[in-house]
Amino acid sequence: MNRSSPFDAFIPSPENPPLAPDFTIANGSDLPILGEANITVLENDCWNKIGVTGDRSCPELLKHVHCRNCPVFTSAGQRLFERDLPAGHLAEWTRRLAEPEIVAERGTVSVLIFRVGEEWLAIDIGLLVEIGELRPIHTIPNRSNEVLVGLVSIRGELELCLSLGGLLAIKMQYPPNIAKSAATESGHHSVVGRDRITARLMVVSRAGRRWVFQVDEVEGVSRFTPAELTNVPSTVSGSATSFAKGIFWRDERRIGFLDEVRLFETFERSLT
Amino acid sequence: MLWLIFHVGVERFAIRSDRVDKVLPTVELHRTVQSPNGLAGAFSYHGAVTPVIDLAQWLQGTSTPLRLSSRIILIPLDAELSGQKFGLLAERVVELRPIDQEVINATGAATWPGALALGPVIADEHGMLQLLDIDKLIAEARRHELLPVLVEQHV
Repeated sequence: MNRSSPFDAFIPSPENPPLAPDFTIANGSDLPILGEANITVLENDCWNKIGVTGDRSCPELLKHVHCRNCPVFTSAGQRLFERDLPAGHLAEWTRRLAEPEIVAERGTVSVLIFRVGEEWLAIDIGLLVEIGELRPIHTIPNRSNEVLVGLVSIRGELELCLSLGGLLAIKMQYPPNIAKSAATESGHHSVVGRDRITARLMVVSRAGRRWVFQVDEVEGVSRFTPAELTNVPSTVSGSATSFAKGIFWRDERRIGFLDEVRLFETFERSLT
Repeated sequence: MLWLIFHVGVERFAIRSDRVDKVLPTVELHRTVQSPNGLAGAFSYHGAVTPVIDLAQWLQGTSTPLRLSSRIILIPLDAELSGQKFGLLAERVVELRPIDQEVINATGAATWPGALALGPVIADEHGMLQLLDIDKLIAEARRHELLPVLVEQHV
């Protein structure tokens, strides 16, 4: 049960749009301007006379700094509710509360979907730091291999750049070394032949460590419910699926949800 | 502990917020024929028939006036916050306020043996405050037959 606040029923949402407003907020002011209907309720709008939207002569301002912290303003706000019910209020709320309760699906996972070679993969969006254009990747003599591509400068910091394609044994559309030279030659708007390069650098972070890896295309953010995630079929073999927690379907594409623990542990091992 | 402050007539009442499920606006209430004094009626809360006790009518004999600040405090019948709920119709349900247990102890909270056993009365900076003990309230409401008896219906 949602226990955030007993006043939840009053928080406007798409299913629960606010009823007629009690007051309006004028441009540049965050304090209510009294409409015709409310004059009888609030005769003393001192915040508009001696308060922050008035001449600021109120001695209480020294103590409360802003009218919204002042008990006079608070009680004035509470008095706004000391009014008769607007027309249709009872019937509207009777109808709304009688409707079946809409319970949001729990355990929904937000992911970033991207492509490596022919494989569509997804990673927990919480791990993502940023997505960047391709930059020159500097190989490390005697250390670079098919998983560790080299070093790349991200906002002035040298980060390790790894290859998902190398790790998962997927043939990448833009192998890091080729895309690197293309990026070096033509800057940010790197072009190979007539096609714009869709490859991007993804910066991810887990347990305080940052990693950069290159992907062939970034699709965007999506989400799936636990029920949508199915196990990898045992008939499917290959590294890409063995690093997946499960698969789900989006737009008739099979997407592997990467197991970040296994993935980053393997990255760590590739460095030693 | 946060307490939900409300009024019954001119008297101030408070109820522990952890026993409150939701605070709802007033709705149209179905009045049962020959319903006991204090029962405001019943409404459909997402399909569940939910009785509403009008505290002003029950305790003071005058119905709660229907204003924007009059609200239905939805309370589960058991402390686990599940299962059947009932509503308390009260006035000026506009404030949540923390009240320390030490304050309750220090002000010499009083109850009267002969009175309806609803909980202790304390004094704070705004005056006297009746703390509603929800379990006692439910017991008293049952004794006064304000809460329905659920039976298998064959119509």
